[in-house]
Amino acid sequence: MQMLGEFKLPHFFNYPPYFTLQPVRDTREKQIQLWKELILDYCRTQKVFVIGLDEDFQLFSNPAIERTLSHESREAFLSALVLEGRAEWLDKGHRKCLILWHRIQDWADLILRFVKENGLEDSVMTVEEIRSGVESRGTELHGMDRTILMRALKLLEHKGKLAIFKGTSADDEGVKFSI
Amino acid sequence: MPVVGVSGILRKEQEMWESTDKSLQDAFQDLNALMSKAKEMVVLAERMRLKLLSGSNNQTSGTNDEDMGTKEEMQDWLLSVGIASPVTKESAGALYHQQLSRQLADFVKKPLEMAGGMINLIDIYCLFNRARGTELISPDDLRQACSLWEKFDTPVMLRKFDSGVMVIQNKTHSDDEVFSRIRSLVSKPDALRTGISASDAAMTLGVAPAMAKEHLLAAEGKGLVCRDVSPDGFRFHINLFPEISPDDRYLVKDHGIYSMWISAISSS
Repeated sequence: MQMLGEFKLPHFFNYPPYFTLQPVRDTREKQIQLWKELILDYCRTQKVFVIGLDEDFQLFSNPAIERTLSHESREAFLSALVLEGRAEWLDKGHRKCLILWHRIQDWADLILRFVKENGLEDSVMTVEEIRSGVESRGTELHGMDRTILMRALKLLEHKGKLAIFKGTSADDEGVKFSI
Repeated sequence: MPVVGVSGILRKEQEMWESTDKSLQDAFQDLNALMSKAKEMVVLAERMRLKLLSGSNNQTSGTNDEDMGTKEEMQDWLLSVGIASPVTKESAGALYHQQLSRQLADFVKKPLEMAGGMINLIDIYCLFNRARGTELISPDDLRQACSLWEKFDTPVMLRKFDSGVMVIQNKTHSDDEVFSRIRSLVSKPDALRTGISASDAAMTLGVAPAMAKEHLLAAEGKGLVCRDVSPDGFRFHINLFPEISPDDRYLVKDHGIYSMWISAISSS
């Protein structure tokens, strides 16, 4: 079976019609479903958080059969993810898409778990430390997208689990947990 | 008068232009005369049309057979020079179109057979008019004549595809039969690897490529085949999407078309 990095590609990745947006409704629905799942799983495995439509995204081409998804198809499949709440457009022109292979709520839960497991319930950390500090190594939080992290933190702030504040240095914001 | 040298040449040129100019003017005189006569003809035809219109609305007018005959003739004549008669538009069809319809049903038999059972309306338009030589019919006449076929017993029918293309086909033509032929075509090992084009289908089905494309599009609509659009062109493959499990994208059933396809592409 073909691999893309560490990701195992399914057989239908070599099926040319998979790379042409299908006009017939039933066929198209199945095609969209397959692409949505493939995109989410690939991004989760490869830790991809943002897809740029005009960039070369490996999943959107198959050189072995010489087929590439058109801009229109890419937008169609990503829009389907957005509709499902598993992605968000970062710009009005639909050029960049934020992929939520974990939903914001899921990330928030991961942060809470991280805080509890490390005994950080009443402590203070910078935002950067959450995603690149020593404690984060080996967890899913490590290397996560900053935009997503901020959204998850804001969600938790809204629930009264923490407070976000501007740090002393011009650089980073800080978080005071009160779980 | 200088006849030699440059001035001589120039003068000859001038004379030539003047005479050409005069013949053109004469010719246009004739045309102008024709145009004014034509105008009169149109006015006359309009008057007759209105008369017919008022004549049919007038219930009490004693219509003896002769009068009716003349009236029908008049309507047919008007139709044949392209002036629609308002009297007969709503009716089942003027005599002209009925006759045309029967004539067309007969004419169409041979070309239909040669084209493999389905022929583009545009092609019939050309063939029919070419055969007629004179008294050519308009596209609208053709369409009306075809639509009249429903009203009497013919072995042929007019059909409109989703794409808008109109064809004439035998009533006995079976879509399902065409679909099963397409299915076997796209299931062959080569076709599993590369798909088929409209020309490939045309050769197997024995029809024109444009007709083959309509059949393929219809088969696509039924979920039999899928399109593959690329710089290589517009091709169709057997539809594998229903074979892919929604719960496990890596699952391949034994002995299905999906596993056949996988074998076909690995052996290249």
